[in-house]
Amino acid sequence: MKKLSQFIHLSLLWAVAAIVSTVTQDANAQNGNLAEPLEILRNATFGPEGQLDQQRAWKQVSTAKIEHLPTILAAMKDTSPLAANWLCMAADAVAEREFNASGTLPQKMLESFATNVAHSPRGRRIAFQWLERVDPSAKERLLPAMLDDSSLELRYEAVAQLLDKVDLETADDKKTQLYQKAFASARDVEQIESIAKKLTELGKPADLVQQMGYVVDWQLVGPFDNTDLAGFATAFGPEANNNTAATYRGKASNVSWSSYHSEDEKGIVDLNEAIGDEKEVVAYAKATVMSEQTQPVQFRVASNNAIKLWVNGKQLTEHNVYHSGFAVDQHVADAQLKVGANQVLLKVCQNAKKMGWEKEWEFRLRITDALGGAAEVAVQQK
Amino acid sequence: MRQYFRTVNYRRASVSPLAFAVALLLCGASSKRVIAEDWLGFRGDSRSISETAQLPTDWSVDTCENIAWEVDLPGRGVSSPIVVDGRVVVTCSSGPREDRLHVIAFDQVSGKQLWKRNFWATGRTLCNATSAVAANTPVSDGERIYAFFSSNDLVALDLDGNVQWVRGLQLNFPQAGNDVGMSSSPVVSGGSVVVQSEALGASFVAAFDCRTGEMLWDLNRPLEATWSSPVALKVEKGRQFIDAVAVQSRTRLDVYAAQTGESLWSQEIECETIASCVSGDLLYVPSKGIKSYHVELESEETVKPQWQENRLQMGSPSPVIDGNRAFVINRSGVLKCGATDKAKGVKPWDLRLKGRFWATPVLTSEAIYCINSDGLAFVVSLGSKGSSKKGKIISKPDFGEAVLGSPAVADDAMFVRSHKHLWKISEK
Repeated sequence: MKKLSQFIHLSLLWAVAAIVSTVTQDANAQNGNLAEPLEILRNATFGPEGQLDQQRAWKQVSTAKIEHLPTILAAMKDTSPLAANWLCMAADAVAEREFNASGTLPQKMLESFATNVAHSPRGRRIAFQWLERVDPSAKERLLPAMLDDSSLELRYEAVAQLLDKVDLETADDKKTQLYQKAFASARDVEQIESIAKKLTELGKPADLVQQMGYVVDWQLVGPFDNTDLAGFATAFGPEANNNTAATYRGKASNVSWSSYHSEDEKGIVDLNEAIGDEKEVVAYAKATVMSEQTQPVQFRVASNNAIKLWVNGKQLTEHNVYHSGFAVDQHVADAQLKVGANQVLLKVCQNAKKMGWEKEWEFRLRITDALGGAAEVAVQQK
Repeated sequence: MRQYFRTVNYRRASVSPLAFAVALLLCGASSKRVIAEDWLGFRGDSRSISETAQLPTDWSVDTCENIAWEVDLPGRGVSSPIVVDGRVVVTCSSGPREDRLHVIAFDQVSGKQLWKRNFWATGRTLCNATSAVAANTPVSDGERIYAFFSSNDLVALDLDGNVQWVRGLQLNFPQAGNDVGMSSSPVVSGGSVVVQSEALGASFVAAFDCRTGEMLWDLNRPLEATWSSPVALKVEKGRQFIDAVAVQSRTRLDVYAAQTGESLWSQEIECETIASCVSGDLLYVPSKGIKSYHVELESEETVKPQWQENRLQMGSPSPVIDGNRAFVINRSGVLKCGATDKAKGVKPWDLRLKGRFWATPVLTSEAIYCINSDGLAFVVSLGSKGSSKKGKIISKPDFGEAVLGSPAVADDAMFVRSHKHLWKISEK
């Protein structure tokens, strides 16, 4: 009984200390001493360890006064996506509490943050979202200047708003002009494709391949053997030597490179058509991409088949998955292009096609900047 | 000695009076209101049954008859609502890439939005056009809400929306992701939240400490796509009950200790890609119809099912078992009722509904509520509790928009969500 009493006594002391600590931390947060908890959230990682430090830091940040909202949003810049998620939920909690209590939010502060492109796109998106709640004119006033915004979501809304305005026009010339403006700005695939369709209806077809940055000129070789799906892990000849003049031992006979140009407006390379409608096979596609500068780009590949991608001899990505979708930008990999010629090699594996929906053996690849706009490159044609 | 298991009841955690008193002192916890009937996860406690709820047998979203409230949702979702301590919680996904994720809590009585947390997906957001990134039903242990998404993002929030921990599991498992959509719902068992993510690129089951988010264990699973969900259960070992989870793939069924990941039971069983459920001391597994199993920890050989019924082939909805009766909806939209091994005098019957079904139906003491993917509901009267009478359609209320998430039931109300709305259906 005495031990129990001691235990309860110590527990009470601990509880009081914890409450004092919490109250102090909350007071610090309300007074704007956010540097330490913000830094904890900015450094949040995805390791296996527990997250009690982040939990406490989040509580401090999320109880800050509304005037500290820009500081919280600004902390999202140059953080990992996971850290940004901690911060954006804290920012939302601060704005939500203020809005529920007072029915309003400081508009000038929000607008200033949302329109300052020096801040992170996602931080600006949050600011704009709360601004919309308290300023119904914000969209009409601000979105027209966001057609080329670095926030994909704000840009999407700006393009959508422009498209709404096209619907009000009656003259085809004016419609075409506005559609072309929207087409140049759009980065969302659905928007781009729907605008291209409208322009075609107006007799001014748009170049989807150019806008999207699809590579349509390839050298192809195959088929190689993919019996029992073993070909994915097998380094066939082109992985060691992809000289265009080379000949390799294929699945049934010797095979060599041949030029292929896709006429598909969405950049699809149909290997059933180009190489043959076969089961359990592997093909390689290579392209030479010319860049006038060293530049960061993204290789965005889609395929119903298992793939591996190399750029300048370095493997960028691999996906050993068959027939699970063919959406544009299915697989995205960052790369750095060098000045001059860059060698792109793609391996595409087909399975045994046991199911009716497993017929496709195809891919599409585009090279873009970080926002999905076509990169400034040229593909060597042969 | 046979070693059986039973369902987990989160609200009946065994806490001694002394331990409870100390816990209150240490945590300064406010006493939680205990609601007669919360609905804490996908299909409630996995059975999709409310034995006490008195639900309306008809309603209209047009005239608001028996609609207590309706709220707009900010994004798509095929996840189910859950009900915890006076809050109805739903998940949504929005944005051009559907990478904006939302967890929202509404007051159960008024429908007023209490809080909303928004964040961005860190994993893949491709999915079939029918589905959504908000495909996985959240789960709660009564203290926190654990929201999981097709992008393999997992967040824990307390009931007031305070963030407890945040995980992007595709960062841990880079090849994870199902481009058709990953809809496995997490469960809570033994103080850990367990998620299952199985697809062709990477498959895993992993457990996280409910309080801290620490990854307690993770295991590789077969490289096959499944849309099934783990099931929480307790397995008897000696004189103890071990908190466990049953995890099924297309070709196997495993039971793991929830806190350690220790394999407790493993069988090569051909499973459907939809979730199993627990009823009484049996695990009912969709497998060319339904098979039921006792989990016997010391068994190493292939175990024969306790009972099986090949006639009960099902489509996307999970089976609903109330002990005597087993209900399934097949791919042709036929509601089928069969007798389980414990049945006495139950005659099998079929009832043709209409359309395709995704949502698991909800069973009350007198009716079963089935909602097809076009949003047309079928209230099927079953007579008095345990009756073996053939079901009869007594109303067909139409939500007028696609409904793919399974309903939740609490306090004489049913909560149904579409891609746009959340409704509370109640006579009150």
